[in-house]
Order: sequence, then structure tokens, then C-alpha cells
Amino acid sequence: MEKNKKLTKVLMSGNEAMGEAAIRAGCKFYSGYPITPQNELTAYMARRMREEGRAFVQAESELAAINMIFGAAVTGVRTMTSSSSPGISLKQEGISYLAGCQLPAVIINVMRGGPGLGNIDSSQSDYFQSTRGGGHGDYFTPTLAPWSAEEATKLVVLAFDLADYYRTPVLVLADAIIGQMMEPVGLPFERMFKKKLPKKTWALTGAKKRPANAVMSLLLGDRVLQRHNERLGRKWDKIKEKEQRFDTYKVQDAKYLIVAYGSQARIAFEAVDILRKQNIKAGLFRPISLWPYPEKGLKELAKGVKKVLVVEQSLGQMVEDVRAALPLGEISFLGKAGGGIPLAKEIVGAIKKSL
Amino acid sequence: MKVEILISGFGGQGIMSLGKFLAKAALSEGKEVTYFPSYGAEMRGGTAHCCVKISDSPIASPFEEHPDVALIFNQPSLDKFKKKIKKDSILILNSDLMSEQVSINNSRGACLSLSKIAIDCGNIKVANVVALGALIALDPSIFKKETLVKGLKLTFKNQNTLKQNLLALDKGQALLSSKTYL
Repeated sequence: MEKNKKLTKVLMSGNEAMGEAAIRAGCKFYSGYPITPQNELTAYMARRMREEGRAFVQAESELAAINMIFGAAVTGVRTMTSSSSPGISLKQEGISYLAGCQLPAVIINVMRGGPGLGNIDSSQSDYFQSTRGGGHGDYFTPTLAPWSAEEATKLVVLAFDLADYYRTPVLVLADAIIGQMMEPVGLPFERMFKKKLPKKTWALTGAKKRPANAVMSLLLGDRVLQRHNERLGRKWDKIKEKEQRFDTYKVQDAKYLIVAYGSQARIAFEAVDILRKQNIKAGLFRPISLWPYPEKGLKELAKGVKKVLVVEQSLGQMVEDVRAALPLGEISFLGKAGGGIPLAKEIVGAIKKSL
Repeated sequence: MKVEILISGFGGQGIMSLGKFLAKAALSEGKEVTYFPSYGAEMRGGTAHCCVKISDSPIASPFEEHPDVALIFNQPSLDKFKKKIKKDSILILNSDLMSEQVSINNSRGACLSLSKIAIDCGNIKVANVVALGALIALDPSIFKKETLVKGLKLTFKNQNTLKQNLLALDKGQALLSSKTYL
């Protein structure tokens, strides 16, 4: 990564910014299949990867794309794919294989409305899919949710670092608003992960002068898979312990806490300012890592809070993690699905109703 | 300072181009800015629109709510956004593509022959910049003219296209001394 250079601001969409971040993070192979609202990302990679002399493939399907990512990851290079909700569903088989084989890769989901093909409006209805594994088998994918184009760049870089450090696929969960919106993005991108990354001694790079490596997800034999899953389990525990991330706004003296992530957090941010002007002590808790859920931070913050309002572009998914973190809390929910977006005035109304 | 600008018209009228151009202009003046386009499921004959928000402080939601400035390039756009436009919004309409007599009571509005003036400038595609000229005449506080001129010079390498755009900006600005107000 570039260091100590002066920050310059350029106007970029979230989609373009995530593409550029992947390139600067050293992504050597990208494969994807077009789908709105993330097309600009694939288009950006088509142009820029070629300029950088790296590999870009527009695959014939999402299945092909994710399995090409598997192939690239297994050689130890940094690799990424992106899609939107229906396409991510198609990729889940491959993501399960990546997790089972402990292969680092970055997958970006610019969420749209579902279920099924749904529509192309912004939505946060893939929260369950993203934070509960998504595919078959006992696994999780660390999931990072940006609320701006600039933060998206940092989280893509972080996703590559987490993927390499923990040897696991990492999701960046954006939504149509974050993908489509253009705003100023600071260059070069900041690197958040400070730990030293391990050498990829497991990679399939040719076994000349060393014993052959093997990467496989089919583990037959007496308790072989059980032991493998237990190893994975210790990894998930470690990630839960170390990688919880969140941000807050005006929470010091907050009596009413709004919990929202991604683009919805921007609207909640606006609602906090409106409420503060009316002398209502509102604050915002914004999870950045959705898995692991930042429950430690939320528990700590909720101590002085009277009521918690969870706001999502869904019928209520993250709210379950908030309820799990705060079993005794007074928690209400405001959500819209299928492209509906809870507006600032509606959030303000929901808080005032609960006064 | 906080301004919300809505731009809407047919696909091909330079709606998105104008939005991005204004977002870049605002960024070059050191302002906070968001640009949010309509994307994907737009259809021929329908509207394409975008929303640009400019502010001195960070911008939360990028959506159009009640635009302070509305640049409306065709009838379907007016039909779609009529209700969102405030009484005191700056409203610039393209009279060449309105099918009905327009009756909106805006204190700061102008119904202008944007397409015809653009043709006079040598290119119907510069109708969007004619509207921009009219905007700086109605409210010089949002954009400095020199910023826009500089932006146009950065955008257009082709000298003829640049000339047409600079002319469109001047003509749009000059119009409002002799134009039809609503």
C-alpha cells in the first residue's frame, strides 16, 4: 500500500471505489457476471485490471465466476468477485467450498431487493444469508458493511487482509445506494489491519523441492471432518473475539439509541441530528462488522440507554442480533422491504412515539 | 450552505452527465457532495434523473426529498416530480418538450426554450448547459461561473464541443434578462 502521501479527493461511485481498492490491495484475479446494481464494479475491473496487466474474466455464469475465484485462491493470489443478491445466492456453493478449504477470497455483495430476482432498489435483506454462513455446512464469513464510498475502499482492503490472515472468504456487504452513489473518496486508501500476514505455505504453487500440498473439501475417514470442523470452530471463535467493529455518533449521553448499518445508517445519522435539535438525546450505533456482530460494544453502550430502535431496509434481520446482545433491552424495530427505505422523518417519528 | 439539485429528463439529454459535472465542480470548490443517479430499469420515453447534494458539512442521505433546484427537461419529468418541488425552489423547465401549458407558481422559476437555444449554439446536446447558465443567473451563490468554465474546459478536449458548451452557458445566463417567467 502507498504510504505518507498527501490525501487527494476524487469523485467516485461506491462500485468504482471498491474496484480501485481491490486493485490497490493487490487483487490479481477478478471474475464476475453482470448484474445491477453492481455493474460499474465489473466494468471498472474490466478496464483497470487490464491496464494493470492482471487477469479479468467475465464468466459465463455466477457459478463459473466463483469457481474461478476458487481456482485463483488456491494458487495463493489475492482474488475477488462481486455480484448482487440473486447472483450471490448462486455463488453460495462456491463460498461454502472456499470456507471449507480455508481459502482467502473477497466477495462483494451490492444488495438489491429480493426474494427471487426481486428488483434493483436498495435493500438490506441479505443480512441473514451473509451473517449465518449462507451456503451449506458449519461456517461463517466475516462480513463488513460500508456506509460510504470512502469507507467501502477501506473495508475492501481490510477484507483482503482478514481473508489472508484467517484463511477464509470475507464478504463486503454494500447496498445499491452505496454502490451507485458518487461522493468524494480519499486516495490513497488507508489500511486498517496492522497485523503481519502469514506466508501462504499451503498454496498450490508447484511442489518442486517440497512436499506436495493438497487442498480439498471432501474429508472422509473416521472423524476427519469432525476434527476439521472443530479447527474451523476455533477460528470462528477467534474472529468473534478479535474482529468486532463498529462506529458511534453522539452516544455519550444518549437515552435513545438507533442501530443501523450501511446506507440506512446515513439516514439514521440525519435522524439523530434532527432529534438532537429537538432536545431528544438520541445517538447512533453503527455496526461495521455484521459478522462478527459487535455485541461487546453494543452491550457496553446500551447500559445508559432507555430504548433501542433498530432500523433496516428489511422486515427485520439484524434486529435479531440486537435482541440476542441485549436480552433485557427495550427494543423496537422500523423496517421496509423490497426497495423501501425508512426515511429520517419516519425514524424521528418512531423515536418520539416511544418517548 | 446546503443545496439539493434534482435533474430530470429523457435518457440522452445529458442528465447524468450534468449531475456528475456539478458534483465535480462542487468537489473542486472543496464542498461535500453526493451524486445519486437513477439506474437500470429506465425505459425509452421515460425519465432518467439524478440528485446532487452539496453542503459545507458531511451529507447523510443522498436521496432527493425536496429539491432546492429542479432542472426539468421534459414533460414526464415534470409529471413525476411536480409534487416534490417546493414553492420557493428554483425551477427551470424546458418549454420545448412540455406538452401542456405549465402552471407552477414558483417564485424563482423560468420556462425556457432550452432545446432551441441549444440548437442555436450548434448542438442540441448542450441544452443541459443552457439550463446551467440560467441557474447561475437565477442564483449566483451555488456555483461560481469560473468554476463551471474551468470544469467545461477539463471535460471537453474537442475545441468545437467546448466552444458550443461555453456559448450555451453564456446564452443561458443572458436569457434571464429577456425570458418568459412562469
